[in-house]
Amino acid sequence: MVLLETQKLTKTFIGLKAVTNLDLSVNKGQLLGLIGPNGAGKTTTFNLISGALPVTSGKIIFKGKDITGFKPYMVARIGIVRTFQLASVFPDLSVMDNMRVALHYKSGVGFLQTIFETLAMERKEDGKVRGKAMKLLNIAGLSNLADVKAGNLPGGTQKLMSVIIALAGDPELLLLDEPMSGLNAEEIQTLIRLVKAIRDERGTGIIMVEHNMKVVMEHCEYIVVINFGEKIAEGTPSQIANDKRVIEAYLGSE
Amino acid sequence: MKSGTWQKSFSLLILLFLFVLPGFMHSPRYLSLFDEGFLNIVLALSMYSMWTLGYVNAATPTFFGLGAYTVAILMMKANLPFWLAFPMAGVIPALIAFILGFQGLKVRGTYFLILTLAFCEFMGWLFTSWKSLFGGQTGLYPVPQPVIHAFGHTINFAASLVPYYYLALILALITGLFYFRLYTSRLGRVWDSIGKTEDILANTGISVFTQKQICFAVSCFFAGLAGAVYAPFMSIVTPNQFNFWQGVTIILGVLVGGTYSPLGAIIGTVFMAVLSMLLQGYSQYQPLIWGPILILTLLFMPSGLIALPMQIINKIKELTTRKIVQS
Repeated sequence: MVLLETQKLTKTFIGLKAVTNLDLSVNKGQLLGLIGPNGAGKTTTFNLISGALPVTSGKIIFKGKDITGFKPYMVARIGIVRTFQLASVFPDLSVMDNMRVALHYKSGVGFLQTIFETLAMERKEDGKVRGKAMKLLNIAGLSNLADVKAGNLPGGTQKLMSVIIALAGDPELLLLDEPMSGLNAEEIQTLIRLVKAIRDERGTGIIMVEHNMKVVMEHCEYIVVINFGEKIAEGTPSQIANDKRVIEAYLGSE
Repeated sequence: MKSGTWQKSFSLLILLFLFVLPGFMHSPRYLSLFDEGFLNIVLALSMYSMWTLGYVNAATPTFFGLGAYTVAILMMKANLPFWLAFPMAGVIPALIAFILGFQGLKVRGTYFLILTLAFCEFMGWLFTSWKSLFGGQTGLYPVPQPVIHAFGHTINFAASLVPYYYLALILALITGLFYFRLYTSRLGRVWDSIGKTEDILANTGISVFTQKQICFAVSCFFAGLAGAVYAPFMSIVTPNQFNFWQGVTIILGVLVGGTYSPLGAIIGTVFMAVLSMLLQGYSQYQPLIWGPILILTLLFMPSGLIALPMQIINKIKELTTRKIVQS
């Protein structure tokens, strides 16, 4: 089942064609790799899908619905959550507070309710939130770090945290922007195992922008290669590995 | 948490002291100083709540002024009683803030500062030029004194400054309680996360823009209410009571006190109020003194006065353990 597809997605800045006529699609429960040399337009594509950048032309269709032009929070609400290259955590808050903030929207609390709510009512609500938060943290094995300030966590753990924060919104599609960057081999293994567990247990579709070729080739089911904003190849990892155009674009891949 | 109960009991004691103070402090000069101090606390809290979002509201004095003018105009021209005009003086600035926010909150902090500065100057001009409504340079005078009937007595605001003292104190108390409640609640945690991580927040489904709108409108609501107390207190409302410089003093209060909690804003404002009281003879040198205070604070006390006790205690601990190790 097709979760998301882009149709002739184009983004031009004045004089610069960042993304041109990109047709991309990802299915439920599919781990799609989006690769390309630096500056190819991968993060721009994410920014377009998540609504952070306005589209110049083309469409973004999610579960049959046209979501082109949706603002980032609207995109998140309908089920697409992205992470950022630099860790997407709230650094000054504890891990548990990070989860509380991430789950805030889902708990449906408004401004007036917050002001007039008694402490007893808030504690009761918090009990529910803590329960959900612990469940999510357990997926990544982070529940013992609940009271640690997120900014003090090592880089690899922060990356795990950011995926769990993204998961709080119960997304059907995850956009992971270079999740492996800055991680050592062990951290990479932990993170990719988490990503695949999410895919397998929840049927979440995942688009992963990555530079780490080993990870992409080993774990992605399908790969789309872009260069200079245009799709130059797509296929399974073995097809991509032998594609002349990809090799040309990528002199010196890992 | 031990320091929490410490803080609470201390604050309660100070509150009690403030409530009984007019019993033995009768000097109108001091009553009026405290009154202005309480109103400044409300403005400081208003400024603080926008600060935590990453915005400096340079037009805080203007919203204060809008509240003052609203009360004066409604009481003088529409003959409304004070208890009706008072809430309007909060609602109208809030509405204007809401409208301003549609553009102002979509841009980054620097541009918001410029926009509010421009608004401050524009309103200053409007207050002066629209003579039929605002009374021009000479302003609106005399602002009718509120007459409040409570518990079988009539509280006469015209007779002494004591009713104004309590009105301002109660307003400051309500504003303080509101913001303390807010910033310890889960919504407060979310608002605190807007500053540098608003993109991550948007990705959890929260409409950050709506939150900013609410915060801005509420902060100007309170600023307006403070103005509503100020107008009859001064008996006159003129354009030059509300200028950019007032805003600078408020910002300084927030900075010096500490930008990490509403209590910091309050402490810093009190500090600045005491300082300006001591410097009363030298008011023309104020800018000369405020500048160095700002620089010294940023250099040596970036966490503000509120962090000072903990820092001193830690320093003492550090020094005493060193001595023990040495001996």
